[in-house]
Parts: sequence; structure tokens; C-alpha cells
Amino acid sequence: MDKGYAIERYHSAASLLPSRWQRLALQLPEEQQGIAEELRLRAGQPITVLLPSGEIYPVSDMSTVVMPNDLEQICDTVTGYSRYAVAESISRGFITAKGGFRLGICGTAVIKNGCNVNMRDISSITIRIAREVTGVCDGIFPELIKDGLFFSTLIVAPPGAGKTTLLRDLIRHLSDGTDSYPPQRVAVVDERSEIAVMYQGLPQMSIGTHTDVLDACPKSIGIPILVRSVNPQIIAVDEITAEEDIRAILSAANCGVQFLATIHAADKQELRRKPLYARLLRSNVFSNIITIGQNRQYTVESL
Amino acid sequence: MSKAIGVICILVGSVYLIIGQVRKKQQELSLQQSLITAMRAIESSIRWKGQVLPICIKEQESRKHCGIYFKKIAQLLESGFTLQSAWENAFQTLPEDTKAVLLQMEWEGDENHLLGNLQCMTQALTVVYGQQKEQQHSEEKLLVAAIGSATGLLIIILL
Repeated sequence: MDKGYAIERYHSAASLLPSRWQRLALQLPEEQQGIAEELRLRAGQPITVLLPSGEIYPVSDMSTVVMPNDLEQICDTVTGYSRYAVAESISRGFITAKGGFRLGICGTAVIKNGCNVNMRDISSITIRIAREVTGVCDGIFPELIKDGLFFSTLIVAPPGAGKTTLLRDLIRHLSDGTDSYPPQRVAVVDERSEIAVMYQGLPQMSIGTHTDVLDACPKSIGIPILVRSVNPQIIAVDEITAEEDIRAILSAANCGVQFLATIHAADKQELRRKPLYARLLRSNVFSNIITIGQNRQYTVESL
Repeated sequence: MSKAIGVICILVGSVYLIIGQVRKKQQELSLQQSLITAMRAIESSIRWKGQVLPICIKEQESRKHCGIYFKKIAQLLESGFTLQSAWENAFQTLPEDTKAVLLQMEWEGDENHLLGNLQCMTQALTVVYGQQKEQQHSEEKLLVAAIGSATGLLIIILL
């Protein structure tokens, strides 16, 4: 990754902070800015920066602590003083800021009818410094194309292995096309707003020029909507977890739509052991499976 | 002859002043009407689209009469003002009765409360508009009567 880009993203994330915290965050040495993963603010504590080696303070003198007002101000600024507009997102513990930064929010949950509907008395905010990684699927993309056609593919890996990064890069490749593969109409059900990272109607991540995004919609509802509304050739979804997701996929696959999806599992064997996913495999919707091994090594197999 | 010229000059000057006052009043009424429409549009945007406030405010920039104030609010927001401060700052030059209504607005994050506040403010603005329009009617009647009397006086003097 370009160092200048990595540092610029750190600066963009820091710009979400109130000015006094922004100044402190920018005092972190540039080498560390380039590899910083998160900015963490906890009420009553100094600000910290998460590096691959662990959390550190950006400067040695950290006598100033984060106040609850600072956290409320960040929320107000990021949401445009319109928390009602992102209430669903807040209830799931995050909000998305311009630039594609995800802010994880902790506080006191407001529970109604057994569901968390809001968050009050915010006690901590984690700003994830999102950096776009492109080209990760360059090596495996040709293996997914047979006779000029893309066939439904599952990406399987444990949490944190890079499934969403790979998914996004594949979406971009399929949408833009390559020298030997024409662009496809790709539609994305971005249930958790992590793939395209939409902000006020604009994708904050690069997802290709022929991609339609249905944001913040459950997959089981979004898949039939997309089939009816945008006539996709390929539908991409992240993290199939529920029975209704699989039903929606099967129904759309019967209409000739190909799928690109991710699942939490260590490998194909673990997938076969889980009844829900075993059913998915037996349905013969998916032709290929990509597993992500250590050091982000991708392996493509036929199903 | 010179008396007649003098009277005519006074009359013309008075009419000019009165027309100026009428125009100013008319502009105030147009501004109030424009603000009422803008507030209703913001309320609708929030209620039906869940639209965020900075965009709701930007959408009103192109309105005749009140757009300039929303543009100022948007600029203040971009320069780091909170929404409440930007709102209060933008309307400082307005006539007192309109300003008083607008400054009562509280921009809170809860949707129902926010919509309620917007509705109350729109209703209050509508009341002020109604009162001032009635006042303007009365003043226009007086004006017509005054001009009529003055014209009569002028004719008498000239005769």
C-alpha cells in the first residue's frame, strides 16, 4: 500500500475528531500514522491509537482525558446532527462517516421489546481507519471464469481474514471487467454497509462502474428487490448467516442470477459440518469456493 | 404657484417614503412566507425520507427570499459551528418578531421531538405572518385615505 495514501487516510480519520483531539492525534509519528488501525476514545481516558503491535498514546504527555461531551460532539458531527437518520445503525453499535470510516459506539443500550433501539450516554468511540486495498484478487480472478462466464462463488474464511476486502475487489473486477472479460451488471446487498460503505448516497469504497448498491437492507429482503429492480447478472452479499438468506439466494439463482458471497468458516470441511451451510452446498448454486489461508493466501476449488 | 410646487414636492416625498415602507413590509411578508414553505419542506424531508439536517438545509438554499439565510447556515456548519449556533447566528439581521420565532427552534436528534419543534415553529411563523398581513391591509387603507386627502388638498390649493 502506498505510504502517502495510508497516512492521508489517518489524517482523514483524525479530522472526525474535535479539534483538540485532532491536534494530539496528528502528533503521532508518520511511520505509525501509516500503520495505525484505529483511533480509540474512551470517556475518562486519554485518546489511544491502535497499531498492529497494540494500543499506544499518540504523545507522551496524556494528562488530558476524553469527556463524554467530546463523544457526543463526534456523533453529532458525523451524523450531521441527525441521529434519527441513522437510528438503525446506532442501534447496531456503529455509524459510518464520510470517507468510509466506521465508528463503533459503546454506551448504554436502550432496549425496547427485547431489541436494542438506540444508544445513550456514549462512553467510547472506536474510529476504524479504513484503507482500500485493491488488486488482491488479480491472481485468482482468471480461475473463476470458465468459457467467458462467471459462476457463483463462495468466499470462506474465519473472522478477520479479509473476506470483505476480497469480496469488494472481486465485485470491482466483475463490474469493470478485464481485458478478457466484459463488464457485468453487479448488484450488492450491503446489509452492514461494509462493502460499498455508502455515505449519503455515494460509495466511499471503489466498487466498479456497473454496480448497484442496496444499502442497509437485510439480504432476504434485498435480494428479491434487486432481482426485480436492476436486472443484475451477479448479486454480491457479505456473510450468509440465516435460513432466509439462503432461501432468497436459491430463489434468485433460479432466475439465472449468479452469486458472490462470503461465509464464516475455517474451510470447506467445516462448512459441510454446519447443517445450514450443508444445505447451501447441496443446492448446487455455488460452483467455486475460495478459502483464505494464513498470510491472505487464496485457494480456489470447484464445488 | 410656488406654494403649489412646494406642496407637490412634499406630497411626492411623502408618497416616496410610504412606497418604500410598503415595499419593505412586503419583503418581510415574502420572507416569512418563504421561511414557512422552507420549514414545511424540511419537515417533509425528515418525515418521509429520514434525510439528514445539513442536506435538508442545503436544499433550501435556492429559495427566493430566504435561501440566502440557509446558505449562511450551511457555510457556518462547514466551518465548524454546531447546528444550533449556526441557526441562531444566521438570523440576527431579521426583523425582531420573525427572529424571535426562529430562535426558539431547538435542533435535537430525536425525530419526533424535532418534527414537533418544526411544526410549532411553522405554526408560530404562520401566526406572525397572518398578523402582519392584516396590519399591512389596515396600513394600506390608511395610506389610500391619506393620499386621497392630500390630493384633495392639493387641488384646493391649486384652485
